Amino acid sequence: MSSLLDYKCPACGGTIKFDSSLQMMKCPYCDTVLSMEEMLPKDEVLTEDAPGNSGVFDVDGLPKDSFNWDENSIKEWDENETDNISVFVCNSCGGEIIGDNNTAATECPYCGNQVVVVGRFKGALKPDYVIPFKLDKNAAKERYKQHISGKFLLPKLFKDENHIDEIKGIYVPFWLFSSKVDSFARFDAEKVRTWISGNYKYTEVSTFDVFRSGKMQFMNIPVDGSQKMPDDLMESIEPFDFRDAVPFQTAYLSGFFADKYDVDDKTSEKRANERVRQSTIDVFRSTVSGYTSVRSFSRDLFNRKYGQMQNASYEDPFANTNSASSGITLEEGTVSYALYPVYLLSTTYEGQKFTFAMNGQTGKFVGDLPVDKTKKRITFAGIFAAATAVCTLILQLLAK
Amino acid sequence: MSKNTVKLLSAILVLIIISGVCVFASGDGECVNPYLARVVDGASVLDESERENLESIIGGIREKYKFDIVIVTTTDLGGKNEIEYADDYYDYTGYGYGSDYDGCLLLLYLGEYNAYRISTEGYGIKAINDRDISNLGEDIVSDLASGNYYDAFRTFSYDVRDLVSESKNGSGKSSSGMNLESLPANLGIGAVVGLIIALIVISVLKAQLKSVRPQPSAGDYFVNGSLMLTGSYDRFVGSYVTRVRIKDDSSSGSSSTHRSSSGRVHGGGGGRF
Repeated sequence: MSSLLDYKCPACGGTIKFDSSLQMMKCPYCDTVLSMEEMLPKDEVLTEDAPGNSGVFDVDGLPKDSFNWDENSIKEWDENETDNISVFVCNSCGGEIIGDNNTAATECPYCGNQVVVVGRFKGALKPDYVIPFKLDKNAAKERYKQHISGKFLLPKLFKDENHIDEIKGIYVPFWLFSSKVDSFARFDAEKVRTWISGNYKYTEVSTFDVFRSGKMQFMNIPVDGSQKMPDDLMESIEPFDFRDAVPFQTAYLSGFFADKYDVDDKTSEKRANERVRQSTIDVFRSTVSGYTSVRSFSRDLFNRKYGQMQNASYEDPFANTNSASSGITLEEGTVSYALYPVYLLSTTYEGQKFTFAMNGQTGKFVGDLPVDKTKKRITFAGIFAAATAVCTLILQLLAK
Repeated sequence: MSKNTVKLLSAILVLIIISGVCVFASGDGECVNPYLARVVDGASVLDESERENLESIIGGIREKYKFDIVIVTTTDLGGKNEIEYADDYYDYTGYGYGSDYDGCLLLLYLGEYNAYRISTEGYGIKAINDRDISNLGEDIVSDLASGNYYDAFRTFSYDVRDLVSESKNGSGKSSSGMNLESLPANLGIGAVVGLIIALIVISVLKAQLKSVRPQPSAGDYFVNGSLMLTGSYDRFVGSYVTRVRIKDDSSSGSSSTHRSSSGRVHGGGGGRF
């Protein structure tokens, strides 16, 4: 039983990879093209029961603890460190490929052979969907160049020292949450009217208690299931369009890296719920119109304003029961597990790590850039001086 | 030449000389004729001590505020109307402070009818607008009507002083000349505005570099058209009204002006009683 899958071209034996422009498998050596259907038989091994998912991995029938490390080096490794390392032996060249416990697809650093680690996708761990890469590595490089151009305060050195070749295409594990939602939201709305009469300007503020409740539906809200992938970075490259999602096949991974999840769906649920709550408030808010200002309901604010009113005789329907400004109940919720395409680039500058990500489906490119402190200070001083001079001059001339 | 022409020509000559003196004087325009009488009581409504008092009050105001005040009473307008008489008297006698002839004149005519006329010029037009003139009139007319001329003139002088002082403090400047006293203040304001502008520009440039931010809502994953409202109300709770007095800002009021026979621009107003 082979624990690593690899993808060899039937014509020439080279490694075939997924081509994002063709959306099919292509051999870079002999240009043979294979459809995804033709790759299906390879995945039958995934339907077998999944093995355990920890520590040292079974490699091609070798005994379990066969690290074959040199005695001296093994003493330096802490037990914790070895727990997170997995080692594979490449089928093509015998080289040792090092990954972590979540590595599910990777590349042999010696011979470029693409491997998929079967155990990481077996049985219950098999992803439901995958959105294949729509853009290739060159597109990612181009977008990176665009991203760093035109930024005035970017240090020039950063632009020069680029490692763009190290852009990696990774399939990131996501939990997708869909559900119907029954929710409500309450708002505090005001209408302000002003008029002038005699020597006075009058302002009238009217307060309204606004309530909305209803049902709505959300589909496939993605929450990042990988601990090492920063959540805000992944949320920044959204949205992903689920319409491009296809049933999972390992062949899509060839040519890219992939990890399985290490944050389970129960934990990820919290984030999805937060986002759903915020969205329901936004949706209800969009149905409220005709006011000067609208805010989420707050009991304190309401009581304070009530005290100021001149003609109040309002019976708050929720007075004794509920002071909440919103609430959600989920119905028919489902979770699926999907791999989404992301291009990743890490670089270090002045001791700080900078990570860039590009949505492999839509091309949206994000990543925080460093600030050139000296340039910032000079620009600030320059603008301050110029603006002060101009303003003073204008004021002087006005006085005449 | 007729007597009138001579008078006219000499008046013009005097004007030219005075203007010339003003032009060649220091940049601050400090020139006024201190020797002219400011209280000319043609109608003999004041006694000597009253006249002296008024002169000294007016003199003090003139020194401090660089603003000329003249009070003229007459029983004969010499064929002119009050407006012409007041304007001409001010111009041809040579009153006025600085190159713009800042100041004002109060004419009291007791003849066929009783009337007063206030004429303003230069900075006077700015400091005393039409509303101020009508207020001035209200302040003095009852005294004039009841014969308390001294009181009326005194009130007039102090009111004008207050108006000029308020006007100068409001704009923080003298009536003419480049404004060096307020340079530090302007520099201060300029620096604050400059600081704000610089901060805004720098924040914008820094924001250019930031693109990673969490997505707080799931709006992109909302199924369009799936919203079904099950309950909704918009209920009026209550209201309150506040009011603010609009400042009767006389400093922003306007002054109507006209040209007198001398060609100079005057403001002013008056009334009968």
